[in-house]
Amino acid sequence: MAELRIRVCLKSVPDPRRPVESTIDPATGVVRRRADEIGIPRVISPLDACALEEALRVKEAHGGEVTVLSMDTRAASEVLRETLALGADRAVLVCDQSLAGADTLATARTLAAAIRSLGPYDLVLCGAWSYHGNTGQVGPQLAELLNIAHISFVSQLRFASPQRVRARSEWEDRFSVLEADLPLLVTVAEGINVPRRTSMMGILLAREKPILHLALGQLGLSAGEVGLAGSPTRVVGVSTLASKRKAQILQGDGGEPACRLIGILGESAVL
Amino acid sequence: MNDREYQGVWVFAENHGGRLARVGLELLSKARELAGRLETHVAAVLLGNKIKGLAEELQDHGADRLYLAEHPLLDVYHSERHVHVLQGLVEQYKPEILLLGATRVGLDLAPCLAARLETGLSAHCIDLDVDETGRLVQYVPAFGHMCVAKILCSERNPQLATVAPGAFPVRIGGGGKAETIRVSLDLEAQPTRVTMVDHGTVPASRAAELESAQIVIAGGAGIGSLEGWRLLEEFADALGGAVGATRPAVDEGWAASDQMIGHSGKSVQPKLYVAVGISGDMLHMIGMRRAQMAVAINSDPDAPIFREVDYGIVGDYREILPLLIRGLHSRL
Amino acid sequence: MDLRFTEEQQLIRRSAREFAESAVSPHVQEMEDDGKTPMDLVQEMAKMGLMGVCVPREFGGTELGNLARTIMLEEIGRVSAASAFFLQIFHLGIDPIVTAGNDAQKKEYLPTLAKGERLATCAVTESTGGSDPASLRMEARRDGNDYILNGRKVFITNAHVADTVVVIARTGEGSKGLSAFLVDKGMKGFRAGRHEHEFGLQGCNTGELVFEDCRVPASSLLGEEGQGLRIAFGSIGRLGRTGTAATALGILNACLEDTVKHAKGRQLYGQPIAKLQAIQWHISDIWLDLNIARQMCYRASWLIDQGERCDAEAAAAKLYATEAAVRSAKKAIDVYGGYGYLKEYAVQRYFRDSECLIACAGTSEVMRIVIASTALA
Repeated sequence: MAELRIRVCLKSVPDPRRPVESTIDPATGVVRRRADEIGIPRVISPLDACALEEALRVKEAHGGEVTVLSMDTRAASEVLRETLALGADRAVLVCDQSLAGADTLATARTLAAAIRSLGPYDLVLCGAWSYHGNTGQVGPQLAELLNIAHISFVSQLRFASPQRVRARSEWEDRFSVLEADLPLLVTVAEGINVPRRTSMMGILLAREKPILHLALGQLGLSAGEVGLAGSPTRVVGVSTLASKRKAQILQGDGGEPACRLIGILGESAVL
Repeated sequence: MNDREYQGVWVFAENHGGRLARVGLELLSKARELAGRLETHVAAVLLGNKIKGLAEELQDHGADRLYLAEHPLLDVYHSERHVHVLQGLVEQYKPEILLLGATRVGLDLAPCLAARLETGLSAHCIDLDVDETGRLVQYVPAFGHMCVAKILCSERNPQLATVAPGAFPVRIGGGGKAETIRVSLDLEAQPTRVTMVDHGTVPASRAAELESAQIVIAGGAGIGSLEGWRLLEEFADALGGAVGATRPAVDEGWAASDQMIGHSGKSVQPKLYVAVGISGDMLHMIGMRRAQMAVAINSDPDAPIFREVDYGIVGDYREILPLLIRGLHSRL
Repeated sequence: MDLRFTEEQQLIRRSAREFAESAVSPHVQEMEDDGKTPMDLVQEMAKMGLMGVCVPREFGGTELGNLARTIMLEEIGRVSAASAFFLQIFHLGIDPIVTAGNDAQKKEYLPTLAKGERLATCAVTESTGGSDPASLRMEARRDGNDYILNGRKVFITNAHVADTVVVIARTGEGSKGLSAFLVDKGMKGFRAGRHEHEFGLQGCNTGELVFEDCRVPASSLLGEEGQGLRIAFGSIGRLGRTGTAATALGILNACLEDTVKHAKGRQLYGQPIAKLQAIQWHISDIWLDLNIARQMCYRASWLIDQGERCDAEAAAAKLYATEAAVRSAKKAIDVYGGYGYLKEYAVQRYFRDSECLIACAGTSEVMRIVIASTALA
């Protein structure tokens, strides 16, 4: 089988285990990070980690190289180093002031240009949705802009033949098994695999692997096609849903709060 | 009548196995309201095989017009084919708005369409409105505590949006007799790059009970481990409740994706909702807004969730749940 | 002087933390309950490459250095001091082979040890004392092409799980009469004896090693006759002390985090106790101890990585970090009040674990002697 050229589109997000109150700048609609968010470590978006894991498994089984791409700020380089430590061969950070405020179409356009700038490829993998933003739109849009086929919500990826993928897609209460020739884009759903941990050897080997930086000029796109300027949708306002709850903290030592709760539930006839 | 080039509020009437997905009916009701304000019509778009029997139901729920694309090759959802047909319809008939349910089908179909048409798309809308210039205002949950972002696609057409199932109520009535436009298709001649080799149903897990459950216990990232999740399940059993999860808990593999509550997951309306190890992110909370009583257990006293529930206990769930379980058992 | 961690060091910390929280944490309760070293956890550590961080690359290690090791042990120690400690002793058993092994010994032992396929430990202490080398009695009598080993070692960490032991035995008189030998499990006349049950570091196996006419080939000798003490104390001085200190750092982190969380949540007199000055002072003392200990540990490790002689710094790091951990654990229990005594809460474990680090790699008194010796030189 010829060496597979695999691209993984990846996003770093604030650690989902830490709560954060991020706000959107009302003037521009761009997400403005609050100071406290800066202290929260960024991790690979969980499903993107699954996409990378799948890419690494394909490489281990069939040979090839794995390039990770991310459109992000410079702060993402730490997360990209982690992808190298996990086993990616190189990482590409697409970073430029003009890219800020991009909606999913502008993001997909930027990533498509970045992928094209790296030359021919066989397989593009990404998570079906990210923890932050959560639209799930970039994958399919990226496939359309690259003009390649795509298969969504994949829980199982195999090769029917060296140039043909067979994948199982999960829908709410159905599944479908689809086949397509390379080049192909696949979005992965949870359950496809359990991502590996970084090993010390991986961290050591990451030293020798490159992180390339791509700015707007190297993408062959104009400023009007990317970022806020290139986004057909934009955030025009932000509000908070008012809470109508009691918000009462049950006080007491040891088992008291639990006792009181049971009392409350009993009285309200919920039980 | 206005003189806009793009006219009409369309709803994608998702259907499977000869039945309409409920979200399509929810969207039709909302579409009627939006169309009224825009002084335009409501159309349902029905793709499938042997589905014209569904036309009446769509008409009863408010469709003025029905675009019917019937073909054996549209029997089961196939991305390329469905997108191709829908694209053809949109380019020919030029709706100003197209709404789809934020189901997996919708979440696959809509972005492809948006990319081909180079138009805007927002996902998982929890509300829709029309602004003074006649543009669709899309409200989506934003990352962070109880934030809602307001999104506009001011220039491109059609304006696309996927809408969270359960965001709008279903209402009967509105339209009179719907005009049916049959779309002629030549799908055999249309090659697809992706071939379907098999498909089938997946047995519904206990997650199917969630939407109708009276008591829902939901766990989040704070549970921390599979062992912890087992304790949560034990607690749910003690209460006789269904188990829900946040996105991180599903990503960790502790719960199935159809147990996910929130934005892109399920909406629940139980009498009692208990959140354990959940910080209170909007993405999740949006799914439990309509619970009658809400309780949270979290070790972080500053967790935003405490503002969104009726009662809260600050502490380690590993200590509190066993106490609650014991207390519940001794009551019985 | 740039005191920031590099991106690589931050990645090591993140990976170690992730490992500690996902792989180590589930074992903590079972270790407390049955006191056994969980071998599946040891295998996970091996898979992560945690044993080989101080082994040269040419023998399959990652040679990431002492500071990387300290960061790793700190993160693991934060979740389980026992796990950090038995891991750091695996390193301690490997290091003498790295520093004093000949080519044949390195080739034979290091690759499998680096991968964690085989486990090591170091055995010096006897009932006559650990820091009194002149009184060590175990003997290694030359017999043709072999040595015959006789004696008993006590308080040996990983005694029952190690496959290879670096053991110090007497080939001559006085401190210069001690030699280091590589003994493998299964060699006739060598066995792990009694289990020693400590009140802390549960799950970290400690025990006795018994040598009864154990015949080992001359090729088992590490370095030259008479170099045993220098070899063993060299490793203990560099890895043993920084490893113990790093474990204590982990405990310090846990003390601060748990105490802060408790103080914010616990309500007395109508407010969180974090608002009370007395509690704030306890917390700031723990914070201070943690941050001072960190600087001592990171600097000692850094000096080791530069190849500089730093007996006093390593001893000081160990002295300070372990004593600080004991102090802070007591403060944590004080903040928790009666809840601090309950086994459901972790602070009582920090209290017991930290105390059991004091006598490791040389007592606090011995550390002071080492420091004084540098100060007075």
